[in-house]
Amino acid sequence: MSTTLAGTLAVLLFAFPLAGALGNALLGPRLGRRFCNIVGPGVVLAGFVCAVVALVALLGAHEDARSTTVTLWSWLDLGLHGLKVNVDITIDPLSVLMCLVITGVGFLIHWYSVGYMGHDESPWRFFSYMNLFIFSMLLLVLAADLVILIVGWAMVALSSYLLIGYYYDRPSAVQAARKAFITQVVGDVALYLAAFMIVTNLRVPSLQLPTIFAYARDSFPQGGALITGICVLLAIGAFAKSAQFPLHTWLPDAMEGPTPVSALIHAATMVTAGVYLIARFHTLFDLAPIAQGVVACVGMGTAVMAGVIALSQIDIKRVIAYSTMSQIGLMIFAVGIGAYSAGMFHFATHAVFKALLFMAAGNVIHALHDEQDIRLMGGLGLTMRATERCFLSGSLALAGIPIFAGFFSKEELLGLGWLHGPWAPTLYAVGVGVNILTGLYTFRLFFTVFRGEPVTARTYAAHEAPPSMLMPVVILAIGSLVAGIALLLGIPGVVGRFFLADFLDPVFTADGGRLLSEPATSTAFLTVLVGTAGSLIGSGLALQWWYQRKPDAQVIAAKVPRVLTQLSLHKFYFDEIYDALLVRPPRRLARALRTVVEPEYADGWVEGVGRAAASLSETFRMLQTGRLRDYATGMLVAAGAFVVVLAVFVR
Amino acid sequence: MSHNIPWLTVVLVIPLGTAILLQLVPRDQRAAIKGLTVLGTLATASIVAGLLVAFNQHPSIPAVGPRPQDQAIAFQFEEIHSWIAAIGATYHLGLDGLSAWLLALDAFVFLLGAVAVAASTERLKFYCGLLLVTQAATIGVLLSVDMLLFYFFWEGMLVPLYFLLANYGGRDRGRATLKFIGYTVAGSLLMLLAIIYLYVHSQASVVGHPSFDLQVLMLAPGPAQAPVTFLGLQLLTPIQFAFVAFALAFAIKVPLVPFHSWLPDSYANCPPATLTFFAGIVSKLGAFGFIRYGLTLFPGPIHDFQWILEGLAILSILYAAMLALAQSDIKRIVAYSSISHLGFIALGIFALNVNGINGAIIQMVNHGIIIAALFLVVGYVEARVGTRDRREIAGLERRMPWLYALFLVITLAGLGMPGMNSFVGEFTILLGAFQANPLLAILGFLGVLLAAWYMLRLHQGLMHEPLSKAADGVRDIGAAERLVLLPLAALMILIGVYPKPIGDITRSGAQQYVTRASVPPPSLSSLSNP
Repeated sequence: MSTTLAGTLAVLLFAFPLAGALGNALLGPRLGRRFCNIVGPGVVLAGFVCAVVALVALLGAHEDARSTTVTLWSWLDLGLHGLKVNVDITIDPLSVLMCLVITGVGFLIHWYSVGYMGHDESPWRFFSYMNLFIFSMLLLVLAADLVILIVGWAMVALSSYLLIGYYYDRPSAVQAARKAFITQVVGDVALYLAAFMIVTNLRVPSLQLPTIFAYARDSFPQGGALITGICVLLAIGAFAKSAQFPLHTWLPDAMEGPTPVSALIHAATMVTAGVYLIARFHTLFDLAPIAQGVVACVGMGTAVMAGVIALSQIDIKRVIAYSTMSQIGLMIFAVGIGAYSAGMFHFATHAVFKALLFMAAGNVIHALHDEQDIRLMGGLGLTMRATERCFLSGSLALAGIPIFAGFFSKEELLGLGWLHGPWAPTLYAVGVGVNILTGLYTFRLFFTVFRGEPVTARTYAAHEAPPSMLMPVVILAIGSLVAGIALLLGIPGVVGRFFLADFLDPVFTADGGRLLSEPATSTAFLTVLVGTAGSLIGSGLALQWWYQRKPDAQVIAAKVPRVLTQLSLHKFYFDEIYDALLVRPPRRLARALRTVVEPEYADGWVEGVGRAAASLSETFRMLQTGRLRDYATGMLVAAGAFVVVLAVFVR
Repeated sequence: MSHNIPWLTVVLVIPLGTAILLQLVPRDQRAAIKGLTVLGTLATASIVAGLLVAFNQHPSIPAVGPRPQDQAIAFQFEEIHSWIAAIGATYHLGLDGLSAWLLALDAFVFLLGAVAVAASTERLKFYCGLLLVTQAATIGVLLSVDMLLFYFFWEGMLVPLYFLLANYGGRDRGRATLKFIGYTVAGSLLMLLAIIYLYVHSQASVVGHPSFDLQVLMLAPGPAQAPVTFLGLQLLTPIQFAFVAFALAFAIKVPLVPFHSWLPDSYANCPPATLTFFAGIVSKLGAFGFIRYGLTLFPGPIHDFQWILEGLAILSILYAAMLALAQSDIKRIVAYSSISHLGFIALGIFALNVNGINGAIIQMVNHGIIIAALFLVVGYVEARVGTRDRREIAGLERRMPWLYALFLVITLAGLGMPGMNSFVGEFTILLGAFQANPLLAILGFLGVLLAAWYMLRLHQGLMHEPLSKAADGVRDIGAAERLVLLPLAALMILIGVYPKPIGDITRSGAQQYVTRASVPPPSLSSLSNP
């Protein structure tokens, strides 16, 4: 692709959502709801068109010529071996895939928001923040310079903060927003430190990513301590953004935001940025097997932990949030073992079916007038047929039931775990366990909400969502049915077999990276069979316990050791532990500093000196008029006298 | 810009001239008084803008002494005239990469201060006169190259500031003023002794007669290095003593913890319009002094004491951040945030490398803009709600969407959000600190985390949650106030997006000072065997 085209597309991709954000904020209050409803989704659709143009242009180019980096402007020169920081963007298959998902799924969610936020008092504020998020996310994925990537990285966190705290009257939302933001700053700091280590150890002339990668490959020995440290820091940044252990506690609280926000930011796009980051920095991670092992283990560990927690949550959005955490754990596992294309594949399908689940849940919440407790739902399939069908499609995809999207992407990455990663195939086995958990919590949710007897009168009064909230959901429901087939097996005449892998793999092999060896066909078949069996067992058990109720779920829960149910219910007590270790002690220290140290010591020693001087100068009391003006005059006279004395005596 | 006109003198004289002109206006012509003040500061600002454009385009030839280009500081727009010939004091002005953007900041915050002052202020003419004299003094501090001239402006600055603090402000202003003046004078007197010491020892210098000129002093071979002994104890060398005296004066002005206790009281009792320049430029002059004089005159001692100074910087960052977290008075939160941010600037300086110092200079400019804006916002809130207690204010976003949006931008700049101006400075500073010692950067990052915490605590505390009783019925900021805050917010974003025009100049300045500071001090043996 020519640099002119790449530059133009990138600028347009930035300009549309940014103009939307500013336009909504400045003109929205005056021009009203209709304006926002058109401009908000409109600019994202325009961005999607640009992303499609980029895709077409890439597909038209030769496989080796699909990565274009353009410098937009020069940002700052640093005083270290002539280091320059530029605003660079890159258009390549990886960034274009991200752009397509961000603007494509993003547009559907904006469209959905028109209905969902139809009664909100300030749609301009909402769409302004949403457009700002799209801009930030595009900046993050198009950035080809480490510092600019950090800017995008932090701006994503900012827009997430703004949207989590959107209902600013609610103290819980305000708290959640702050918690999310500060956790993100922890991640940012890890990225800064990684950048510093790169800058001080590689004599790079710029912080352009391709340059960093080229220098790193030449300078860092495979598995060296420095590169391992850098990759661990990058991974910490990724964990913060992708809500992975131990920086995961902000994500469930983030559900305080409006439901479209949860769909867009906390399911489809922002939280997968960590996966993108590791995939983007694959050259470095390939050099640091220990860091890769850490990433893989943390990913799989988080997948298990979140799956266990999801089993006992009673808030419909939090169940889906923990399921997101668990699925991203799988993606992180994939990029941790080096299965980058497989990780991105699961990212793409997950964006579709998880956005769908959130929006369908939003329809339910809307119909029940902001009720989120699943114990008060049940039987909604009777009144909300369309939403139920769509939710089912998403659930099947999430649980990994064959032919649905999640099945293809999940089995692909798990299958690679059979051969690769730390202690392979142990983590593969754990992954099958995650499949069981996923089936369990997914269908626990589905059956509890849509089947069984209605619990409250509100259920009977519930209405199906209006078309504006149903259409995007239906589109995504079709997507979760066909996306996997289309991207893996291909659609004759439209996309080829293994389209996504063929499209992405050159990115990961371009600078000497190697693709993972695929298991032999028979082994691959076996891993898929076992993995699918796990998904089916989990879903089947859920069917038995929460639908047929023979035995009832309560009976099963009573048989499980109490420790486990308590851990699940209390989310492994992370909030309590962090509060006791990281929030309270600094608060207490701050209070002690204010009440004791500052008045007694910081101020005290000065006043002590003052008193000592005062007692010495008892004889000069005549001069101490106590009037400040006299002191100031005295000072001026003294300074003047000094000059005169010097002038006279020093020759 | 023509080089025949002594532009630096012009910049120095305009505020003074305006102050004198002001005396001709009758005291009840309030609009005219304010208008003239704004006009005067605007004229200064336009000339400074012109100087910045012309900066580096005609690098001047060094004017004094035989010196290798890479060891001295190259000043531009230099002016040298004899001042007190008897003692070799000169009227020597110059602009370099360190002072260029600080001069711009100076012009900007005083313009802001002139625009922001309420025309209904009591004794407006007196106030405006003091403002203009303060500006002249601070400009003098930035421009003087002669130490005596510098000291003259440094001390002279206190006089108008004293009258400003003592006459305008909160209830407790008398005590606060005494504390500020007492603190600063104590530091300054020590510095004066050190200046005399340096002057006396410049006898044998290159130009043949004693001099106060920085360009000469920094090239004079350092005085004898033997440590002073007292009761058999080996203490510091004389030059180290001299450095400690300078460092104390500057540390008080910055301020570094534990020399900071004048600041919260002074700021808390100071009107917001005064704080735009008091907090905006005056506190930066301490940091400026460390670079201008610490690095040039004391390359040896500043390295000897580097770890102590770095420790104080870290202490300032963390201690003040914790206190910002514990305050309930919103003005004191901002005051302590200022100390913490200046800790970052100090950290960059004491990294003693180009990135650290470059970041520090950039951050001085940024911090001046941010702190002025923060104090203005806090002032607007106090004026409307009638209290500064954070616990009594909540939910302002509903009533004040304009203030909310602008305060959001300012808050983000205050917490070092990437993409905003403060990120440029902090990133560069922390990179410099990391180069000096990775542990410093890691401790500095704790400060970044705490900043996010206390800034959001302030912002969310005022803006969010249900409207509090005290905040009910308040009106949003009007056009005049928006006109003040909008340019500030715009600058925060603009510098964040395109910092290069600042960075190019400041980096060349930082480079000179670092090169200067890395010149090995003359050794003892070379001094004893001439």
